[in-house]
Amino acid sequence: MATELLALMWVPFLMCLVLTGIHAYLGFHVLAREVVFVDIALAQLAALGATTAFLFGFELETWESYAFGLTFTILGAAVLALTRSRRRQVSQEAMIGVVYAVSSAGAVLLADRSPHGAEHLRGMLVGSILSVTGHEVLKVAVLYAAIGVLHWLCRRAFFAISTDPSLAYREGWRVRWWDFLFYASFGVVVTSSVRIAGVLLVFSYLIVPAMAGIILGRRVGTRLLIGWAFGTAVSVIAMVASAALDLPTGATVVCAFGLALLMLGTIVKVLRRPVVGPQALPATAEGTEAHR
Amino acid sequence: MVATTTDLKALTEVVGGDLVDVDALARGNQNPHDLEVRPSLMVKVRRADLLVTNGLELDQWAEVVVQGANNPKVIPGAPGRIDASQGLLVLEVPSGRVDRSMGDVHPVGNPHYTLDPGMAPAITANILEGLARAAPQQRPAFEKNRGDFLARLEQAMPRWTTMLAPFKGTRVIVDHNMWVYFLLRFGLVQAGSIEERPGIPPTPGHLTKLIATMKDERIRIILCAPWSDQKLAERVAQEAGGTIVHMASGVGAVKGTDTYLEMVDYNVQAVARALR
Repeated sequence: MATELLALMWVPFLMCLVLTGIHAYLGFHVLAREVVFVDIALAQLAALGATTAFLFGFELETWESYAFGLTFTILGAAVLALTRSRRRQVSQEAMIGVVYAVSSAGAVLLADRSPHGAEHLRGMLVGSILSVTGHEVLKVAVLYAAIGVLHWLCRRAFFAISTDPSLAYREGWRVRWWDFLFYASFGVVVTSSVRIAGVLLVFSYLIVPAMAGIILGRRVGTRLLIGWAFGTAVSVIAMVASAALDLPTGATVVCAFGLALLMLGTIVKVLRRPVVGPQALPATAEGTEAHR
Repeated sequence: MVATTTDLKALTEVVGGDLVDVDALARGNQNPHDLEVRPSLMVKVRRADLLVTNGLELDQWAEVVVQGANNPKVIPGAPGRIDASQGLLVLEVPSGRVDRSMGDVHPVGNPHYTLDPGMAPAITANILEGLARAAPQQRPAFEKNRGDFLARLEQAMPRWTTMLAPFKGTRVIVDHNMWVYFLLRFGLVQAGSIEERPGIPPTPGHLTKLIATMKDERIRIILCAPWSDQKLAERVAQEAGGTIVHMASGVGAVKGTDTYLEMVDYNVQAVARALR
């Protein structure tokens, strides 16, 4: 039984590794920009694109469906890049929230017109990671590697505009253009991931490993390694749990990320709590006296 | 008048002929368990004299439409309301406790009886009674129509039975537990279902067991409705060395299934072809 389970799940597991690889990295940018919901909005736009394609008779596996999803996402990326106000008067999160809500509702309206709308909608939310084929994993891995190379080549620009946009403006970077390029490449990743893993799983892979990296590490390189390790570990545990406890895989992975983050946060809080004892106080008072 | 599913629309047209104008609420290739209720459905029901429902809790969503339509002729218990399942021999009536943790399991039995042509006489009898209640003077016409249809059915049944006779006792896998009546009628056996708890994605443990069963018992086919997860079914088929059979889950679900007899014919031929 275990070998058969392995035979069924090793390809989905590879997919999780591929997702971890690119999403953990992109998550750092998303968190730095403080636009956590952008990926769920773009993911939902990708899902809306796929739903629209459905209406025209293009099934999920066709390139037309992919093109629809990508177009919607890129348009959303353009909107987000344009509305990133220099002075941050209105939080971009509000715009992103609207995009998410409208694209979700739009998908419901469109799905109703298509033959298997409700099932399709559900599939786009929790994904169908169990039915992914080796061929698909390979295609996605190659695509994400290419995007990884792009981000490596443009790393200075991307990190500048993500971490300190006002500085980037002053240094002369064309921020709006780099923003758009970032969101476009981000959109390609999200579009591809959503059709396989679903909106919730994509969101989890994007945010949680990056959060773990930020909690546990200081330098960019360390954080990235921690994010990758965390993402891989949780994927393994979730897959095993799904098999052993007989739970639907996609939802299990999302919950596993949540639980893991909770545990991590608790452990870190407990370990970093300073020990306050009688000896500590005189030393502090002395220190304060000395500083006067 | 209005029927909730395309199967019931087709069977009502068979009995009513030119004397009725029937509309279906669901489309043939839709999942009949759950529909997004649109205002246009309520308008249809509002204008209707009669409503034919599948019953057995398959078309619970229709109750929402009925409430919104506010048509006293078709509320539950009204004379304009026809429950096609009345008096039918229902399969898989659960004997133990039934609750939502089991997915949307059918609490009063399996409602997918329209897929079995052997049920057509009983279904059309129920429809006839309903139509006659609304238009008693037309009863002779309805009875003649029903008689004609049953004659055609009687001609077709032996043909179908012969087509599937060589495969009597063959075990098949299904995507959703909706084929029991059909399989029982033609002597095939349901060995398992991809969807173990309806409405909830199947777990890897369940799929692994299913694949193992398929390999051990050399089960070659998986029956799939147009609205089920084709990709997952294909993956299971691939792992187990079988093939998918695309079935018509209702009248109009697939091209070439525009009448009830055509739909059954399509399904029988599809299964026979796959098992050959």
